[in-house]
Amino acid sequence: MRIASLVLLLAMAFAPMAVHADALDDGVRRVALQLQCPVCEGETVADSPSGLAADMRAVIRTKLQAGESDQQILDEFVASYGDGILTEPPKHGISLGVWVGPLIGLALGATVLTLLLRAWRRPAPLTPVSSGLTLETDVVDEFHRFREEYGR
Amino acid sequence: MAALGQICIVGAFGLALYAIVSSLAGVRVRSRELILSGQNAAWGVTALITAASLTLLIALAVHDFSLRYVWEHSSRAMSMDLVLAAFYSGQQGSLLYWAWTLSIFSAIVLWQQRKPGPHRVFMPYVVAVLMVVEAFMTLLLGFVATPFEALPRPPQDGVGLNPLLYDAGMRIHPPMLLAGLMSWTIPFSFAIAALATGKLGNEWLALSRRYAMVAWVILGLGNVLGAWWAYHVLGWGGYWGWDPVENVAIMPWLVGTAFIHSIQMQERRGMLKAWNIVLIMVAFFLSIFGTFVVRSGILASVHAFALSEIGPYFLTFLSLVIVGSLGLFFWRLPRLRAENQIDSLLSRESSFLINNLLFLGIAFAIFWGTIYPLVAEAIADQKVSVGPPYFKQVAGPLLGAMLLLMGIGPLMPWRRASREHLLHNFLVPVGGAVLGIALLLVFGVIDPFALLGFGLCLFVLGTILQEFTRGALARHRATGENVVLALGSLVRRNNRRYGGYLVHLAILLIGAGAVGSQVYQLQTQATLAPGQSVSLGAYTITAQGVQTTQLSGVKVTDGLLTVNGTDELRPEKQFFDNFPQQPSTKVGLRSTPFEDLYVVLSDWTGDGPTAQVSLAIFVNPLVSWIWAGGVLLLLGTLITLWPAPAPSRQRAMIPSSIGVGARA
Repeated sequence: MRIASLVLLLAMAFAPMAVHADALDDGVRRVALQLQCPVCEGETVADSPSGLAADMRAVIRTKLQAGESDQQILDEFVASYGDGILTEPPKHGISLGVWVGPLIGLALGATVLTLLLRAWRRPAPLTPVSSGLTLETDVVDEFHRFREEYGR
Repeated sequence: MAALGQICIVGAFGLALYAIVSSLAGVRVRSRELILSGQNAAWGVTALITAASLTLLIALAVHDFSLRYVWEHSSRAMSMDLVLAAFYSGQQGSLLYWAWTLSIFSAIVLWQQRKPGPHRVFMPYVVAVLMVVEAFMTLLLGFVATPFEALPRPPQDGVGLNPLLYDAGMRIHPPMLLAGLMSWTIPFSFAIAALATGKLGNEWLALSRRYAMVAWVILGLGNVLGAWWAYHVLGWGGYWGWDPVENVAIMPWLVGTAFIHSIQMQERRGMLKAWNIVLIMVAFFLSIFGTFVVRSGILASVHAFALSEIGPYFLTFLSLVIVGSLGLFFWRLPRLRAENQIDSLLSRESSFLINNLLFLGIAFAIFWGTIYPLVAEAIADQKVSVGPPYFKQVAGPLLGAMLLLMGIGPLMPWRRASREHLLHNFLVPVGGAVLGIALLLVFGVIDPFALLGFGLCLFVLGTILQEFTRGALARHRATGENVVLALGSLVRRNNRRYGGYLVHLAILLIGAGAVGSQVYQLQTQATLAPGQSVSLGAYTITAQGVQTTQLSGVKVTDGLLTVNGTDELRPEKQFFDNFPQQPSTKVGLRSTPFEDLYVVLSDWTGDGPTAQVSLAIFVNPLVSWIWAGGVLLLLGTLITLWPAPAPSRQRAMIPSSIGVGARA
């Protein structure tokens, strides 16, 4: 336990020592990571090797240098390319559906589960379980542990 | 060559059809001969698809460019292992590979179940289901996407492999993934056989559990290897991009994970019989869907879907299979009643139910996010991108909940947990996790996501270590073996349980690696003239120009770097003669157990020792833990699958007064 946490800590100890080379580069990457490369499949503007993505990074750099905020830059890209340019689908319009879907799914699942549990949960007498159980080795060890742990 | 391969495929298609008819007719008219003849036909299918596959492999090996597939996917300059790997690098070849591995697995099932026994009644249906899938694949291979299309005038040399695929990962990741998707067909066929025969007890589960575990581990490793390949080759500093192709490969694995947990409810308590059948069906549907998407990349657009040659076939097949399976399922539903009831919400039973909810929830969220661009395009004609932020936000919390449950579930007793039991089992792990979080805070880890993630990992680690310790100590006192030996025999004798814990440990390693690299990744870019340096984390990287070498068929440029003054690091770009516009990346990687220094040579100007280089540099903490997790995943699953030892004399030592299952 403790050794493991120490090990983790050692690993983490390097983290605060970050020395970033260029704040502008970080800004470009931060914005570019939120934009989908329009001509690639599943790559962000930050990671795509395509020429268009490189151009878009240059545009972001210029705009950041001109003092625009991240959100302003993103809004301008949305204005010219549509919502599809964002890697994070916006939570309005047609894109709202992608966020709502899993919530509905989970809610449905949880409801069914609750109903099932309620239907199944009737106080039954504590009789030995009969279905297909044999004394397997793991039961034997379980028994030894039981005896050990409770001293019986 | 072309004709021979084609004949084998068409022959296999015919034999598969015969096997279906013969098996089903054999059951109908109770003819042992017909059933046996169906099985023999299935062996014949295996032989013919093997022959077709060998034909393609030989054609590749001898550079027979009269085959379009060989011409498109290999060239003379490629090394022999890559030439052979070209077998599964294109659409047609990988479908053939899929069909081939399925035929081999079918043969293994036939061989393993050859002796008389209660499983006999399932076999005709198992054969029929396997052959339905095989018939579909050979139909595609023979008439729609044939790897044996001939070119009228054979060219001198081939186009060669896509540069992205020139990597060691290529030789192992795609075959693993495709085989992983394929192998869910086997447990699915047993589920259908159980429905068809009406024998819905534990027999089919006992038969298919092992096959499901095998499918689970192959697909799991396929995914880990895919992450490894992406990490080494794609050069964006990460290993998992929530790409549609990755998503469709992880979905059947998630549902399959729900299945291999959920079947214990049926084995132990006779519950969830219907649900288990649904789970394995969904896993199979998703793996067919996954095979299709992986092979055609259709999810970019609805239009690509319609244009894809194999698209309509896959869609039709999948619809027929879903309708057929569900029809069979609802017909049998009245027989799938639970034998037991839930006694308490604090029990192993309810933790398995929550496990199912979470796994299906994650799978559904991923599915929904993956197909949503298609949905939006179809209903509103709008382009929507669903990128990593969606998946992280939606699947992240669910995966965290899963981790928590992984600590709680295995320590919950069946039926009902008492307060003493909870205290006894959770005091140490919870205390350990709290202490661990406090220590992390002291050492400056303040990111809430990291604290939560590592805290959960520590908690689960505590529960697992506690289980091993208690088990080994109890055995040590009961049998007098020394503790290490006791640990060994504990694992050997209770392989399902402790192998399962090892798999959980593997998931923990992967989880900790994911948390570490997500939260603490460092990244920078720099353009350096010779002698200039850049620092990131604990590393100072100094540029020394580049070195360009012309090898056969490929030009390689190495960036010459030193790390912290001494160590050399050489990130590479490779330009294949046939794909000059598509350079491939070889990451300069310096791995330690705690972090990776990951350097990509993005660009350079000039040549030789005076060149100026542009670098993308990452420090990725704990990524090696993910790969270690993959290894442990395999090990744990193998232990779980190891045949149980013969019953020992210890059985007799149990006093008859102990009610079985009272606490076990």
